Amino acid sequence: MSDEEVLRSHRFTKGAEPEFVTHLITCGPVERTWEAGRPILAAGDTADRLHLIVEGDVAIGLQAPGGPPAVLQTLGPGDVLGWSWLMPPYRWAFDATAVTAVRAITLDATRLRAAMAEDPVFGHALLARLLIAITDRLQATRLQLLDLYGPRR
Amino acid sequence: MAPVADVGITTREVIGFTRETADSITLTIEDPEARGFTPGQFYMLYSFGVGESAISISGDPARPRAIEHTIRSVGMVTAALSALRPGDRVGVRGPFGIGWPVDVATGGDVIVVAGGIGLAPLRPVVSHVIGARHRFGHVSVVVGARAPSELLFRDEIHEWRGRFDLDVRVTVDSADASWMGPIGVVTRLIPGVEVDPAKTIAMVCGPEVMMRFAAAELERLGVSPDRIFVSLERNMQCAAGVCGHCQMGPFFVCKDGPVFPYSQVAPYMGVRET
Repeated sequence: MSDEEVLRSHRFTKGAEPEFVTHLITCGPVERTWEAGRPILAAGDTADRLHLIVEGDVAIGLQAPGGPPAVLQTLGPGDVLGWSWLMPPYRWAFDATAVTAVRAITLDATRLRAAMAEDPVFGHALLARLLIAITDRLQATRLQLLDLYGPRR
Repeated sequence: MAPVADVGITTREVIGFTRETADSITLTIEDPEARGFTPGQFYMLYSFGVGESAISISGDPARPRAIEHTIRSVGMVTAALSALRPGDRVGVRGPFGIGWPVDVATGGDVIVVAGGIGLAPLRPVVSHVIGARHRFGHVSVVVGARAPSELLFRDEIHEWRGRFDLDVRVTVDSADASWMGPIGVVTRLIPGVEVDPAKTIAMVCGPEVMMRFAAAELERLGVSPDRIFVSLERNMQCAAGVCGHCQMGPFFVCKDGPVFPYSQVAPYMGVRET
């Protein structure tokens, strides 16, 4: 499949208008792969790309001083990785590491921000889709914090 | 049709014991009459001199002489039941309740979503499906646990994952680096499941908050609330819909459930009990 076909079949673009995907394509989609164990993003680095995971599992975590990295969540095929490129100072807040071999379509953040500013309809559509992913992740984190399977309090 | 409950208490012999996790065990109790059960039904188990508790059946419906119950020790009665060993005797009443809609699901796709001890009442569904695999379409089993060490039926899940005709996904809320699977709440696995919503029956069991969020994810996939079934847990005492302890709105969980269509009980879930 071409990068365009992969983009069109990704969960992030499910149900989107064809123009939305066409717009994404102008933002330089590039397929990238990582071997298991390789870092994908590092906290503090410049947040320069949006990643749409196509295959494999990605661990989101942070390096804890004096200990092994703490993994907070894992992401899988169909998930969005990284939205720190949306807001200044455009730096990743967490580390992301490939748990298994990972394949993703990545888009250039500078071009995405320019396209959003240039075409508010596209900008709104992209933000709406990112907001769904962000909300899902926030809800999942809240459920994790509830420790639902733990002892009743 | 679900087997008719025996309201009177009888004593039975414990014939098997398996430790599942630090606080959960599985007891096998002999049923010489082999009356059978519907997946999702429960028994009232009585620890002599301590008390009685509603415990769902976690075993294979194709083994009606050996009724399995997976018990998490959370109070006096469940602690006493967890202390039983083969050769001990236990009081039983049952089986009670309306179970999972395995007949309705036949011919279509099935999604099983289990969180924590919620896998216990769903294990008979998976056993039933495996035993009649040709009668079902795409089958997904989605399991969540607090940590790898708290995952029930690990060997069996490993076997399920080895089958080409089951889509089995397991996640834990937290884990160290030795865990190579997904980390996160079970609801996050649902969007990745392949379904034909119109012919899918979803069966969900776990903490009620988890079930509400799981139902929301299933609805986002297109599964209608009347095709999503949940198993509820309330303070069941008589198990015959008489005492009223387990009343939830117009329903008695012991008699009208414990398995309900989500469309029927959604308004009552999340309502604070007084």
